[in-house]
Amino acid sequence: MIERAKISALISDIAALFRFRGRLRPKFVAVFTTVVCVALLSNATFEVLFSYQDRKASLIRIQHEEAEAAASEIAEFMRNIEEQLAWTTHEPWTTSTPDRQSLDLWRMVLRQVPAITDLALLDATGREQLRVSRLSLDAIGSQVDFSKDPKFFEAEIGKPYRSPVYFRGGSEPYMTISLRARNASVSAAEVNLKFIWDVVSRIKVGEHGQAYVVDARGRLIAHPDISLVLRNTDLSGLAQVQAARTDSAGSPEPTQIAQDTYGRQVLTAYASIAPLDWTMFVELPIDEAYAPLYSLILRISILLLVGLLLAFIADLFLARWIVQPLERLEKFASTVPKTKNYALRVEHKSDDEIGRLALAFDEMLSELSAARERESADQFELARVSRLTTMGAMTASIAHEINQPLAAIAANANAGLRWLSRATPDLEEVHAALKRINNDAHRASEVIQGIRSIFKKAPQQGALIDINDVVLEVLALVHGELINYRVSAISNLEPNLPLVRADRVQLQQVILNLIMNAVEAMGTVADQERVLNVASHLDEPNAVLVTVQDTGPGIDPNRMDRIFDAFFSTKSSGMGMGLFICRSIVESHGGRLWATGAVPHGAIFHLVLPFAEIAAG
Amino acid sequence: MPVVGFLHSGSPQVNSGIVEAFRQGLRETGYTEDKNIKIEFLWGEDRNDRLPALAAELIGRPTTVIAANSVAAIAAKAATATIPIVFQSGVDPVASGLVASLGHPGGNATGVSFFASTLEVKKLEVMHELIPLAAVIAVLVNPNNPQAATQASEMQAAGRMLRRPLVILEAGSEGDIDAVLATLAQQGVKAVVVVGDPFFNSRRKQLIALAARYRIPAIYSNRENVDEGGLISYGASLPEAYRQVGIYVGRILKGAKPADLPVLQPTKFEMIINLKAAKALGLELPAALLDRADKVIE
Repeated sequence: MIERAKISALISDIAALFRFRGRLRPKFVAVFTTVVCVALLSNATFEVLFSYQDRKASLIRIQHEEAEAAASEIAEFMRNIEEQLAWTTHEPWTTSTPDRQSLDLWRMVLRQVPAITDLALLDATGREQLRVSRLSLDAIGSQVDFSKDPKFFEAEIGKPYRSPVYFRGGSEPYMTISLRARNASVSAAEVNLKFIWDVVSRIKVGEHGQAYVVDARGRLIAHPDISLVLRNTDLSGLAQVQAARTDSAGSPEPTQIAQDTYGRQVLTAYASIAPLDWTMFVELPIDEAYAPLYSLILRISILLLVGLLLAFIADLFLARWIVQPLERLEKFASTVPKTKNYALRVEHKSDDEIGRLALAFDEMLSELSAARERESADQFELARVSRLTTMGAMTASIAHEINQPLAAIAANANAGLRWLSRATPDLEEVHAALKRINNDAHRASEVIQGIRSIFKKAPQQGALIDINDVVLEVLALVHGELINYRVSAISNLEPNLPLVRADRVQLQQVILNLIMNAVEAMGTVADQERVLNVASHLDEPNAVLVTVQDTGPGIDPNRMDRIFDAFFSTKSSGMGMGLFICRSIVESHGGRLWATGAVPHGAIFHLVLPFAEIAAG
Repeated sequence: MPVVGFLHSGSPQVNSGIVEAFRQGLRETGYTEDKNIKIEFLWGEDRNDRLPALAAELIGRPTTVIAANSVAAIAAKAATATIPIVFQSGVDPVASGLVASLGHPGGNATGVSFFASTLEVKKLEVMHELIPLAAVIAVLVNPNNPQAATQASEMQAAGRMLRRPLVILEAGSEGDIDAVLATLAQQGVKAVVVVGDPFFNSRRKQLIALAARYRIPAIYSNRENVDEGGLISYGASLPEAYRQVGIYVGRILKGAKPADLPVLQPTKFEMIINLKAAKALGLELPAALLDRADKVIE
């Protein structure tokens, strides 16, 4: 139950980590660590589970094999004794009249087989003819009658009689083995079973396990702790001994878990010792049997911890490799729109996905700034075309308006001349023609006045404008053109200038015109530095001054007054209306526009506009 | 640190072998002298009358376990019914009252029982084989041994069975040994059986020397006698018995109850023959006897 509670707590912890929003790193670490943890844990679980099964299976097999091996060792030990005994069923041991030589012969058997304590020759009638012993006097012809003793009457030729185990002096385990000879005499040996101790104590069952032997009645006859045997211990009460005794067929039972004589939990396996009615038990304490499993679990736990730690550290590094560049990209991406510096580059060098992303970022920025340049060039082109179109249309219309009176003047002048060159000049007609000419001239003059009045009469509905903004807008507009003409622009704009009230578009037209004139003027200069200097100042007492200075060829001082006249142009392609209109616009705003020469060369155009009457606005 | 009292009727000079074996047994159960155990040695110096006083001295001290040889164990058993006693007994431990039975000692004493008394007839049998039928064989017993009378009567019975004239000789002191062995020739004794007894074991050098001087074949219980020049020995290994005593002391120190520890009995009996001694005696040993010997010292 505790395990289940722990697991559900762990799951909710992990879920909480997944719910974590905003930061990539903790998510990354949590997911990665969880994945590693689950992988390691499932691996560990499988390993422990399988090794538990394997271990149990192999323990059962090994212990059963050990029991079988030990049983066959005991059987071999007993068979060896019986083989030695079988020797005595042949001549010359079976003599019916034993003498000193016979005694020496029989004594040699004792020498050969340490486990035999007493050895006797019974004649065909069951009387003892010879006895040799380790403990008592040897005897020849004692004639003691053993005919009623099973060791005599149950002994057969080639099939030894094996007595039940008995305890001599109530302590030492013994058994009698007897064998009949062809002449019907019987050789009988008393075998001290303490010698089996040598065999069972040699059998190593792990560190604290043991092998022991019980007889058919469940009494202990061999155990590494000999004192248990000498105490004549009855083990028939042990579950495994009962199980083995009821299992008469002796078929291999699976190893069971049972209690041993010391009350310990043991893995127990047994094997019957043929041909005796004994059973060999091999037992290993449970704790020891599963000790390798426990150490495996410990090892796996340590590995798990180390793995988790490594995974965690690896996560941190990995997150660093991914998250930090991402954070740099993020910061970069927010810097570009803030600074409007499209020349910035990420410059993150790596060949992974992040590196490629940074490269794509850089390429995108290059493309963006190129596009912006193209776009501003287009915009300028557009502005210029629109300016030219406006100017062209206006000029065409002006030309048409003026052409009509001019054509009329020319026609009337022609007619007047003809009337004069007649034989008899018709002065009346001439007078009429001249009058019409006068009228048409007035009409033409009115047209010019009308153009001026277009601007003069423009209603003063402008907005409050920071002149610097307009200058910057126009500079941005001509950026492409400046590059085309290789002109470097300097702006010295005095900050926090008072606002002016003006028509923004008209003001843009004026400044654009002044700047384009300057740029185009410098375009004719081949060998000099092309610098455009746009400045703004406060002009006392209540006006703003904007100057546009170039390093072009400058203006001929003789023409200085005429450049602002209509149809006056220094340019081959010019219509001569630009500065005329500019001055008209400026004057319509209550300002002034004039030009001066610059030192050492070039021209300066001065534009003065009055402050807006804020209170009135 | 637990204290083990080692009470022995003999003297330390001739018993270094068994003391070493005793320490070995203790080490096998994890006890090393002066490291995690103290051993107090008390020697009777062959005067059994001193043993009760020595036993009382041990009991007066904070003694955890007493290790003792047969006569010393009887003295210790008389002195305490609570302090565990581990004995090496040459006499029957049941008959002498040390234990209730071999399998279940039941009291505060247990140990290793030598079949010493029952093996005496086997020693007689060997000498019987070795010398002419009519010759007299002497049996040397220690009158101070509580079982001396039993030993003597058992030997007399065996002698009758073998139809061998026997003479029982008693020697309870160094002087007795000298005096008794000096009379062998007068009594027509042709061989001596020295019964297993701690006193005779202590005086083995004297016995071996006298047997050589009077040119009398002798048989002993312990192989140490043959190693030091005696003719024949038959019996179990005494050092092995003391190793076992050491192991039992260790088990008792670890919590085992002497009442539950069965009395151990040796299963291996060795016959050792010293051919040099035989040659010195001008004795021709039968091939059958040499064949049966576990070890022949050339």
